Amino acid sequence: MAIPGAARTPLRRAYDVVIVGAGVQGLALAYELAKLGVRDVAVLDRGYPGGGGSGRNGEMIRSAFGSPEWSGLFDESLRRWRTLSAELDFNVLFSGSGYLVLASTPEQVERCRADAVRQAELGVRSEFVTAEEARKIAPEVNPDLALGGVYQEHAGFAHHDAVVWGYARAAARLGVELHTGVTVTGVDVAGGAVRGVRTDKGDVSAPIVVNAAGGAARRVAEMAGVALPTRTCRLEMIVTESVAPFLRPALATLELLGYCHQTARGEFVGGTELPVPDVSDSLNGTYDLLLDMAAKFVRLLPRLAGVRLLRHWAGLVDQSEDLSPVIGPVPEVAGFHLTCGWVYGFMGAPATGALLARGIHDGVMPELIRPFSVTRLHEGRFIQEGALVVAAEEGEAA
Amino acid sequence: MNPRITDHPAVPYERTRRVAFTFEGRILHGYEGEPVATALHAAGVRVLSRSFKYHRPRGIGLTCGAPSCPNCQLTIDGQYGVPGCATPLRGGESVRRERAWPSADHDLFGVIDRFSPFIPAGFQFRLFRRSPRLAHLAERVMGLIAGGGREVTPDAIARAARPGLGERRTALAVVGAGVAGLAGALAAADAGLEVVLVDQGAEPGGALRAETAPVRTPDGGAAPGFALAAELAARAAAHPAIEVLTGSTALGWYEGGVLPVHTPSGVLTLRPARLLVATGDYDQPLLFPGNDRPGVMLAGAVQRLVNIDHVRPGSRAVVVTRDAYGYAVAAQLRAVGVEIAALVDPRPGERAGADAEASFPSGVAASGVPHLTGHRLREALGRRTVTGVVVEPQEGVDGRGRAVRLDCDVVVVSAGRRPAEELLLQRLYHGDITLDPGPGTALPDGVAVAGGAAGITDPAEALTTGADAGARLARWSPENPALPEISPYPLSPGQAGRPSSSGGTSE
Repeated sequence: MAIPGAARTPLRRAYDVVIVGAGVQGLALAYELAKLGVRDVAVLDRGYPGGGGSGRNGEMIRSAFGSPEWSGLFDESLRRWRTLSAELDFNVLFSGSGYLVLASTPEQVERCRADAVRQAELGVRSEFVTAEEARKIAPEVNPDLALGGVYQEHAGFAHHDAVVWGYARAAARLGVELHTGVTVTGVDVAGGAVRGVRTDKGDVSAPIVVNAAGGAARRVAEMAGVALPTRTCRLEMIVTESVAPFLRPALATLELLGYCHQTARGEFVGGTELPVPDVSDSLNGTYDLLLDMAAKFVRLLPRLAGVRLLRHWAGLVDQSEDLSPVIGPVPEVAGFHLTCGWVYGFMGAPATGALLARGIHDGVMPELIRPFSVTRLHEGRFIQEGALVVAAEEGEAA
Repeated sequence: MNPRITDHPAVPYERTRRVAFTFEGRILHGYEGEPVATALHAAGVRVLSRSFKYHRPRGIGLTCGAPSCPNCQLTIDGQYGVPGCATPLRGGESVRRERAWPSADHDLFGVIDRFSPFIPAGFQFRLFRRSPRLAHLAERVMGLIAGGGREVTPDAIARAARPGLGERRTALAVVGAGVAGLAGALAAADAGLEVVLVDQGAEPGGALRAETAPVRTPDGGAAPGFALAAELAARAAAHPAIEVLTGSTALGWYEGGVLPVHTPSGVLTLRPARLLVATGDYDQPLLFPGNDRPGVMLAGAVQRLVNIDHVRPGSRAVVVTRDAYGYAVAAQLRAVGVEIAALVDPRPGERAGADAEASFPSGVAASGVPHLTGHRLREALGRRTVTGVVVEPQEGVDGRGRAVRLDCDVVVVSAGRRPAEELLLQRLYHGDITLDPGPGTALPDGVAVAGGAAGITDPAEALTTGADAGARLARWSPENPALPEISPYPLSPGQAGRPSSSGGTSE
């Protein structure tokens, strides 16, 4: 199989920038760097582009969050998502058919109402919806689980593989070298600055190295002597056979810790989480979660009863304590940059790629990504984001 | 010609009850217990569904047995996506085709296929890049034809709400009741293990049920394949230590050795101490223009249709083969009155002749069937169904002359097998991001693989490896894992089961 955007020339010994990880984060960054005129950018991956979390996520896109940090970054991302196909000259099948966060208890309804108010203050386009309105947006949802919610009419989902291919091809057109099947085995640091990477295909020197290694980000950071305060967790998803369209918006439920959507081809795609994070670096899907997903989604959308599964898979996130990404330079190793710690990395990629590229190019991180610096974690200045649908500590939905 | 075979020379017919069913408003008849797709084929229905993207017509036996093959999925009594080749006819059901409007015979969306030269693979990523409005419209139009069906029946909801069958521990689970699985289950049970034998088919026996050629048995004798399958199945059914679950699918093989099995009465969660994977193999299709036209069929599917269902695939067949199996199926087709328009083999005459020998003892030529060695199939002709083929000499082999056109209504393809290795790969592949477990990868303790799933295509050999694996697993125990002698996964997956007689699908 031809790998979109893959370099046809051998790996060179020196580049201006080496990005570790050909996921959507690494490729978006490479594309944006090249667009700013940075030459000699290489993206290295031990597997294939999008083989990690970028090809295993739920494909969902929104910007209605509760904190100024998240809302700022993700609203910029959503803005870019809406024109990404034209930008990359590749249809990434973005579907702006809405994103509904469902509330199923009176407490959750109040939380959604408060979120919508806060989002309005932050300038994010979203609306609180009543039970009746929620059922109008997603009529097939079990009414017991739809007491209200937050709706973003212009959010939605995209085809995650197409996004990876689109970025890879666009980056390659601008001269970025994508080298797959190259395993980074070490990061060279001397005199407080990064010098390059060691790989199973030889050493490569570069004054700037970016860790965009997704589920393996902690390991890559360790190679540079940097201890990331993150941990690797497993998430799982399913996709069903194609069924006649019944669900227009992307849907997330606070009650079930689940998120799902239906593609234009009719497949239903979704994932749920158990209340406690699944700390693991295995890519095996588990039977327990398969049962959890099947039971919860049939409860949420009764018409899924009897629909067969096509696939079930697992992916890894290397998440930080406040579940927020870690973006920008590492103070103790000059030239070593991060874009990792992602749980919502797919939806955040278009903005992060552009902003981090700007920061690397200018030497000053733009305002929208500055709050996500790694130092916040060391100093305990956690980002207080309350509108996520992910498993968190002590059985609490964050 | 009546497609029904009333005087099969080798196999007695056991289905006797003729039943009626409704097909898109018409009343048709078939035999109780035969696959719904077979009943439709015998009634003259050649187009069973339409492909998703280009809405090309699809018929019986095209990719039979391949995982999640959608080509004969039908809506039966409101339940969509039911595999027509694996669902026994009961009588009284209502059957409809899918993915077509207004009907699969006259599908207006079939016009898409006329433009297919202008719609390359991946076209959806190249269209509407600069027009979100057009992209949105395209999404809506796709929605009109997306999905297999339009309704969810109360029956489906009730079935989904059915409680599971709970957990079961067993000493050995055998997945696949073909010749290797049956032999393995019997050997292990004879050695004292309690065995649960799981098979997707309506009855055990696997591919051997359709084989009329003789198969060597370990005692030095030989029996027709179907008779041997019946004998092994009867012994398994009668064995007090073996429970046979037919119509049952092993859904996966999960961490902790959990093996959920979807049975006709619900999901049973098996926790076997040992596992024998005997899931068999798949016929491989060939690449040529028109290779998906109704009438193009895999050899195994033809064999099942003729020898189990007693239905002819058509009246005049071109058989394209590169192994002995194709010649065997050709001979069996002739025996039930199907004219063989030609036997086409891309290999040189002497190699083709050696493979033909068992089925055509005095040579193919002597039988009056044109034997085109050193030839390949250039394309299949016909729009809704196959009406003929173009065959041409293979460059660099001993073929001579020009391309010829042959009329036929069936093309039989025998191009090698691929192991049904999904259960193994589920555990071996995902340990890391590596794509290939590599040759000789050790299986987990207490796990073995035999028969077609291990790349073995000869039934006699599948029988011995199955029995051997069963006996070895009986000697192994979790308390004393030092005993094992469990053979490693023999070949690199993906290479396993491309036997010497086949060369992939490049022709």
